Amino acid sequence: MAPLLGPAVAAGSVFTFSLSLGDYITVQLVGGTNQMLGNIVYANFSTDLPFSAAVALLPLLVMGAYLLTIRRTGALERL
Amino acid sequence: MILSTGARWLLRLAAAAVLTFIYAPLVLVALNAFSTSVTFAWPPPGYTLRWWQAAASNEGVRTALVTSVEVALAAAVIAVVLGTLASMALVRYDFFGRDAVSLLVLLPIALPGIVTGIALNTLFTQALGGLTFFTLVVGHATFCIVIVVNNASARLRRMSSTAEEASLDLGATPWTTWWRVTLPALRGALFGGGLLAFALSFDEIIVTTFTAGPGLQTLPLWIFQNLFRPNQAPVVNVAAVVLVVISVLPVYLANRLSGGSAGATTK
Repeated sequence: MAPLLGPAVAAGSVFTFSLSLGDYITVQLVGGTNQMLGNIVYANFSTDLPFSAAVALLPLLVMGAYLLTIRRTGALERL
Repeated sequence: MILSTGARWLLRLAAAAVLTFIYAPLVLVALNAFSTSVTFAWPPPGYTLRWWQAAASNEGVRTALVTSVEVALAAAVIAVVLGTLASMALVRYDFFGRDAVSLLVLLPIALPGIVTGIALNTLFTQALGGLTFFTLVVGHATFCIVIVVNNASARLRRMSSTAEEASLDLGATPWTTWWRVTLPALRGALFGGGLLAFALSFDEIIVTTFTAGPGLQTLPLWIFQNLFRPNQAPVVNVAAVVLVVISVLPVYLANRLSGGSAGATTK
């Protein structure tokens, strides 16, 4: 059963992974003193836009690599 | 699949634990919206509609609610129009680079909100002359389109194109064929997609933060801003209940429309 479910699970993981990767609201509310990439982007956005933009590239690159990797499973046709 | 009694109970227990973990806090918020206690008191000392009156007469909450509904409606309409066109092109026609375009259409929902947000913010403020109500609508439409494309494409793929071909063979113009044959078959899927798009836009906060014009406040933004003001806590609870109801109802309706099958891939 697992091989049959594989592509669907991979497709679902795209959303969960990306939602979590860029989040800063949940981190502020229940993350204690932890910071995620999103918090750094958000905190520096109005004062240092180039730095923010550079940090924002990280989740973008990670998502790109992630999508390219799981494209092999055929998951992207079922998004 | 046949499971042993032990495994069945273990799975039931795990499912119950996860669902409790997700929904118990929500139930608490709802209870607190009716509790006579301003601070969190358990069990609630009594029940009152006072906070609902306070919320109804609160200018900030009312304006935010209206803005949220307007933005969500506008974004859903844009998403339905553009999403339908995109899904027709992607499913019914074959053209150079179709797979790439299909990936590009789906990408916005796979990108973290903060990336979309900062990109749109920079575009709007530095190249297009500032943030307005309209930029907020466009920001929301970028990820709402994906839902409509998903819904419409799923329906188009299940539907054979023979009825459309017959209509064209019998001399109907492409426009008449679309209006009398394709659209009626697609209507449910489009309406469902529109409802999901509405829900997706209604509870969005990250892209909203980056694309809302000055002074514009949606309900999620209002809640987030008032979350840490202790004296506002009961009104925040009321606003949260309203937010949950208005964003869950369309998802429920859309699921029923599509027979519970087509993807309810909101959040």
